[in-house]
Amino acid sequence: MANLTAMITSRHHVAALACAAAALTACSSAPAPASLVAPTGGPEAPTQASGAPTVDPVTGKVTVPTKPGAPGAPAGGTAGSGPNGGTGGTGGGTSGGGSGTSGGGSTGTSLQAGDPPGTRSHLFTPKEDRIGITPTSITMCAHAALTYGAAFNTTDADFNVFWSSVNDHGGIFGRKVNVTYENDNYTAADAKTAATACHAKNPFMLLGGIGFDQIPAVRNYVETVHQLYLHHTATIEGTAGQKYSFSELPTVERLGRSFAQLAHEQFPGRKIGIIERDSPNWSPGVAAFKQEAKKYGLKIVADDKVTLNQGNYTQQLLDMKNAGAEVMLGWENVLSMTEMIKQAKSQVYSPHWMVVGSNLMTQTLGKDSVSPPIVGSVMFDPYSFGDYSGGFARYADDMKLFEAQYKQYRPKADLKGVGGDLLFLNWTAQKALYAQLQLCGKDCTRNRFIDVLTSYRGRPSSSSCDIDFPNSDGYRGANQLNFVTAYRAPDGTYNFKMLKPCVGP
Amino acid sequence: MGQVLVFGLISGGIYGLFALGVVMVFRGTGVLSFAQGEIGTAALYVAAYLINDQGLPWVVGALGALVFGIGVGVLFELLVVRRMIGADPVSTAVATVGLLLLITTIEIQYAGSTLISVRGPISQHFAVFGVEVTGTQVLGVLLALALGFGLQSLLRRTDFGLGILAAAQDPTAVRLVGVPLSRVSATVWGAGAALSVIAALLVEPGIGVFAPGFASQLYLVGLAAAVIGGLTSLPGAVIGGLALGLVEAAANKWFGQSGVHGLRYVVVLIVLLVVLVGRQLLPELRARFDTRAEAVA
Amino acid sequence: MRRAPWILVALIAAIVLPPLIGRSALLSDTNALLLCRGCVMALAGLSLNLLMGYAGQVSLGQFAFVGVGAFTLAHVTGVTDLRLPWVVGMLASAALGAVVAFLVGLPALRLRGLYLAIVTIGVVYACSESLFIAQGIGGGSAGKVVPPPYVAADAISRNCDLLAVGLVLLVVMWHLDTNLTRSRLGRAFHAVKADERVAASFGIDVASYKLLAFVLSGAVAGLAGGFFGTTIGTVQAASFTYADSLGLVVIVVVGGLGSRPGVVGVAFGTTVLPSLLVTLFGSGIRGYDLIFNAAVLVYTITRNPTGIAGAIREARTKALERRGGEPPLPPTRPNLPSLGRPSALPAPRRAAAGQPVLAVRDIGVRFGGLRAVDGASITVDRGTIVGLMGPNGAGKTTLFNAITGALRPDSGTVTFLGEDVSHLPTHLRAARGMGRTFQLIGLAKDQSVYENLLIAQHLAAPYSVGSALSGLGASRALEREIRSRADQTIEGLGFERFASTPVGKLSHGQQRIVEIGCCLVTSPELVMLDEPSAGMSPAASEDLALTLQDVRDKLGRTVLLIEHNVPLVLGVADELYVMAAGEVIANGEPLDVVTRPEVVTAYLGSSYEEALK
Repeated sequence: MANLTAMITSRHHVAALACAAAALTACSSAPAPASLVAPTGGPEAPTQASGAPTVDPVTGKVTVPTKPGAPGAPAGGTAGSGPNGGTGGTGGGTSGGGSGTSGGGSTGTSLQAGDPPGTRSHLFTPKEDRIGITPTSITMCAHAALTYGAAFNTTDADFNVFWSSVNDHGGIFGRKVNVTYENDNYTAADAKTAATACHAKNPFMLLGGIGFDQIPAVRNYVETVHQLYLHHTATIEGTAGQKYSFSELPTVERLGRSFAQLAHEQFPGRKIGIIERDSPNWSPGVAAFKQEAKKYGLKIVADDKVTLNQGNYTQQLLDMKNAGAEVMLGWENVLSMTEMIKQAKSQVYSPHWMVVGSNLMTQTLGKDSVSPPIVGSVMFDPYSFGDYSGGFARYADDMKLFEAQYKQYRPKADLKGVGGDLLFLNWTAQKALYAQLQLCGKDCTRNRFIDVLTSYRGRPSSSSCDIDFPNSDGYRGANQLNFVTAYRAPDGTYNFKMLKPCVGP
Repeated sequence: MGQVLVFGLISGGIYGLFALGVVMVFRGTGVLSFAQGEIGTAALYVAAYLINDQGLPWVVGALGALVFGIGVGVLFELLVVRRMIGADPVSTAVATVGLLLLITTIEIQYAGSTLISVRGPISQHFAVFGVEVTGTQVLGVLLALALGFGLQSLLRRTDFGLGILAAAQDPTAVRLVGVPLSRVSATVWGAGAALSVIAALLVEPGIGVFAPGFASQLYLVGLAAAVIGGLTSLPGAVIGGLALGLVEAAANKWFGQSGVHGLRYVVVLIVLLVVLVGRQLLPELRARFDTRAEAVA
Repeated sequence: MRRAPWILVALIAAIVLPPLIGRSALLSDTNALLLCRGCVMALAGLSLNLLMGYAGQVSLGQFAFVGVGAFTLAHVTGVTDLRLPWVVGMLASAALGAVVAFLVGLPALRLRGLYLAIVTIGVVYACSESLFIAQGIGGGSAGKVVPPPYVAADAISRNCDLLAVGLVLLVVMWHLDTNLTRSRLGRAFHAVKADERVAASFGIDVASYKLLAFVLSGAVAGLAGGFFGTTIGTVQAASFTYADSLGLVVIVVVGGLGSRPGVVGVAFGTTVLPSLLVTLFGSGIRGYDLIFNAAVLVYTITRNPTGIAGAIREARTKALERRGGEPPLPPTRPNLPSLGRPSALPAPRRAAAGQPVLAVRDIGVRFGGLRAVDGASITVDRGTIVGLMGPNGAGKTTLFNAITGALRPDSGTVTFLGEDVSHLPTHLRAARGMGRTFQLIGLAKDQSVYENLLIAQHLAAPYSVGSALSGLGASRALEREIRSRADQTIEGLGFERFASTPVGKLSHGQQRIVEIGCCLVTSPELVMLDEPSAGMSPAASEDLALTLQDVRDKLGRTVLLIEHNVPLVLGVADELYVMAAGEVIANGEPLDVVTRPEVVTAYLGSSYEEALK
């Protein structure tokens, strides 16, 4: 009954709509939006984007990049030394040289026999190291809110299109990729159950879908069972000492800072108002925004808090209007943001909205989303079916490949609808993961994969921004976000397009 | 202050409409329904289909929604409520929780989280205390007041209406007057659903969009409003709705920037407590006052 | 005490089986965790069942208490907090859950039913949206980490081991809950649920027992929360919402209000069902499984409004009836046993020689502008039957209520056994030996005849809460005594075949006899009966007269009797008072009083008087 009632009233909205919520992007089960190697002739024949780390896909020989990084990026020794604990007590559990675990964990501290030569991470014991990977398969498992898949006319089969294609083209070094899904219902309790069910399948790694409520619980869980966990965006809060969780997405705090940058660049000197959800999951982002705003000397004239599913935001909007806010940062889920913008319109108030939006929002708002155009800082690449011009041109090849694969494997999936951008996000994330697994090579083990992950610097795919683990705290590899803006697509729908790609700090 | 009044009345009117439905069902059958609000959401999907997709006039869409909502309400009465006569009201309330879940899960399956809008009947708007108010919103308040203060006397005019008002309290008397209780029961469940549909149709344009679970949120406040109003009083329901609307608007205005999380919920809880406990104490206090007044005299 | 071995067996099984099975392939780690969730819901279900099923206090916000327990455990045991042992943390969870529930219970003294329910919704909202998201309490976006329990240096972190912990908790709570329902506490809760005024007349302090129900319920909910935190490892505000609370109400009602096995069974069933459906039908049914679940819920509750437990109970009763046929009717002329004063009750105050048992002086009660009782005075002497007559609305029952303390008169004094009891609440007057019956049968109708006789002896078994819950100490001997008294009374009433029949299923006349039995089972000094013959056949009324004489002559009690049945009163009363319009208009020798013109007028109206002229 618990999962049934999770949908009654309040819970339901958050649940179903957190999918497309601020800071979040999709009901995707795969965690990383940044992709790596762009396959040009199909996934089985990856080529390298310039500056990407080197790997020989034919022999599978792994060359852990000693001078990796995007072109022009300093080939710092950081890459060779692996991550250094950026948060207190994180320690060097995965750091190069196998020099120890200052975090107080129990992972091995010396080179282990089971690892391929050159492996520098020793998070997993020899016994744990090859779990989930055999010469013929890689098993992964994701916890995600499957119940609400229908919400976007997407099912778990829709999510596996990329892997189906990979497997039909020979897999990764002959290994078929097998990703299964467990329902987390957007609740911490169900997420723990889902993660446990995943863990029982002995996966190579656990993938964490969207949602603020689930990730902290699973992050703590994987520490106790030594499971590799790649999760969606989250706050840094509470991650001190954790060694098994990684994310290729910017943190919520980084997202907040990027909004200050967006405001500074797009609306210099304008007065800013904030409407934020009164929730511990969201406030670190807003706090980071305010801090960064100070640096830029931005003028914040009003800051109102709203409650869960408040529905009526007119009071707050009038507060903003009276305070003279010309630019509005809305930090709420997509449903509430849509309501807010609609209500602002009916109060004859048309500020420049800054939101973390999705196509769900623009397609619902229609004309209202472009007068003036909503802008946002997002972790995904905007997607607009069939539009390869302008900002899309940069990664049009990926869009076309994505569309071709869906045509082949899931012709009924609605790429034009509000779920299209979510599927694209998911697809690009899987492509990133694919490329990293390629890099991990024929002898891939979990420790080696962590090596690949945590030393990764680069922008491997046309639809990707830089991933830079060495220059971060070693656990969260992305700092770049896309500035996007709402526009009217050639097909008449309202979508987001790129305003400025890959904006770093 | 003026804005608080405007916001309070607008949302209070809607709460009042929901609360009226609660009272109708409670007086007619002695049951508290948790599902009634969500019937409003389901009907909005019907209205959206007729108005947005089929391009029919608003009135036709609204009528379609109304017929659908009443149908669901009456069907539930026939299939469930009627079979639970004599049961603990808590059990029947739990059955309505089941209906709530049923409607919500079907909505999710049907529409997912697609955000849909339905326009209102009157889109003209004008400014009151700096707030742009639409005709639809005014209609909501007026309708709540009219029904809250007019429905009772309207019902009193016929035996059947009287039966509705008295059914839960004195079923034997109602039967003796020749009013079939089963018809009363079906009528109030239909009427309760209809009130929810009307409230949903009138509130949605002001909120902007709706998704599964939309009306249940507001209905919960309506439930509280009905209880504040004494659960049996139609005017009380509307007054309770308006009072809660005003309290909420005031809390929204004055505690929105508070550093204390969710202070608004705490404030509303305290007001609720004071009002409810006060209501219970009032007769005692009045009695004591009367006695003293008499003693003085 | 025959149960003790069962509890031991269950306890040992709970400790040994899960780890044993969990280490084989029979119980997967995932399923063990699911069963842990089942334990959480079962514990939370028991807590709500205690409050709603036993004490009748509706709570739609039970997860507020569960959340309090979870966060308390995190704070007490957390590595960055107090770092105390898990057991200490769980005790603290129970304690704080109890404290918060106590605070919520305070308005419950004033608010009933739906009013209280609405307030509990407010409470759970205030907790989940305010209290629990405060950084200092909820730990911000990371939530609060709950470390696993430790045995020596080993963490109990495997799910099958945690399941053992959960099952032990559940078995212990089940045991305590069983003890509770078989003790004065459970009976007092039932009485409060059935009718607060009746409960008070049996000497039950209604306000205290309501608060006690909240406190105990909050403690169990706190434990459920603590165990929830332990199994998840991380607690966040989002896990303790109104929707979760409503889900718990569904579990308790579908299981059957007041039924331990029903509630626990449904708690486990609903926890396991979703993953069972997916296992059976594949992931393709996701979404539809929720619709299916909702439909099943509506169907189940429609077919069985009393829950699954209620349906089973009814089926069993029907089967019994079919087998045994209708039991013979009990006699209407009971042979009341002389039980004497229960050992635990203090000897009644000895009124000085010649002093009346009851002396009521100048009682005035006003309802708004209406004087319901106006300066009424009554004296009842030891060992007599005093009748109180008067037309409808004369104020007889109101005077009764003023005497027992069910309502506070505006003026006047009540002296009972030489003591001024005017300012004592009902239950304390009952404790001093004032027993009464009600016009509309003052019994807990959903309880059996036997249970009602035990409820009636609330005062005769004054053992502590601890003794009640543990089933040890003073409660043993006292329970044995009152159960023996109940047995003797049932035998005396001739109700052996009906001992376990719910009172509500008996005829009105039978209920009245049970009520009188309940009133007499503690041997009160004064027996106040409010229209006992109402609804009785003439033959039964005659038997009643004989019974009343027995009460006076064989049992040596004093009786104050409201009656409309004139022959009955004239037959048994030693003295008669007549009231009209709130005043005592006549008293004295019964046969003398009834012929006085003012009495005749009061009864038959002035037209009769005029006709006489």
